[in-house]
Amino acid sequence: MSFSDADLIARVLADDDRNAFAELVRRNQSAVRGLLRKLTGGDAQRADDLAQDTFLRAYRRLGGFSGETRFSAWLFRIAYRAFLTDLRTRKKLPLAQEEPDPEAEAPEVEAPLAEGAARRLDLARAMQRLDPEERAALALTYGQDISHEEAAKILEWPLGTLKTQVARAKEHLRKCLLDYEVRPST
Amino acid sequence: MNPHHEDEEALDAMLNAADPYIDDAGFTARVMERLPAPRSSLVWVRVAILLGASVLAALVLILNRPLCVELSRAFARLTHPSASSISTLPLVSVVMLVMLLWAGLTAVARE
Repeated sequence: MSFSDADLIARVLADDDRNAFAELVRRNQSAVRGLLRKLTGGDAQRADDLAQDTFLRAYRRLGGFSGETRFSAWLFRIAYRAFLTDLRTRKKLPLAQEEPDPEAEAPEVEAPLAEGAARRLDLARAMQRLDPEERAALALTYGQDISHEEAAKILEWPLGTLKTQVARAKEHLRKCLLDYEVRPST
Repeated sequence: MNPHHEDEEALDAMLNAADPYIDDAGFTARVMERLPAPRSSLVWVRVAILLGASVLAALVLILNRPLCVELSRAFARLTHPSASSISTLPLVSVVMLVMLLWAGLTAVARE
């Protein structure tokens, strides 16, 4: 028998049911870690640390979950705030200012697979060159199964601002990808 | 078809391509290890503190007669301004003790 997220949350709140919370974590860990990997520009270790913090904060604040949004969208909001806090703490320059490692080329693979793998690698490298806000806009509006309105609420931006950031980010991405295409391969 | 439109579609397709599922690989276990101690282990500590504080306050009241008398007079004046008679003091003292213990038990029951 499969419980809904709402049932599991009720069990955690009523009885501090650890098994119920573990199931919530298991269901959402891939999406949260995936989002954070995009936000951190592919830094898996940092993303996983932030993901752990996200679930711990979610546990402490579970009583504040109103149920008006989906649980996953609520988690994304916590994850995004954790990312911002970490960014401020690190006082790191935006990754957009870093030049991609010229030696980080896709490995040689069979021709039919190379194109897809190389495209994904190019996309990942191009994403690293975006501003954190641009990355956040794309990370939340593509591939997360949440609406633009939900994404705007998570980012605490007006919907118009989100759409502008998405357009800007895609233009930036296009230029980076074009740059990779015209760069002669070695 | 407009080349720009084709580029837009191609970029959207790349962005929308499903992210690979990330295996749990012990992630959930690491989160659960970092959770605070279960609430049940802390409840009895709180019960002991609340009951202990209530009993202590009641004892202070019983053993410190001058304090008990003063508080009872003040409480009596609040509830019955005309009832300053010394004969009402024992009753008022009992009421105050009961209220103290009741407050403690109610707080414990909420836990």
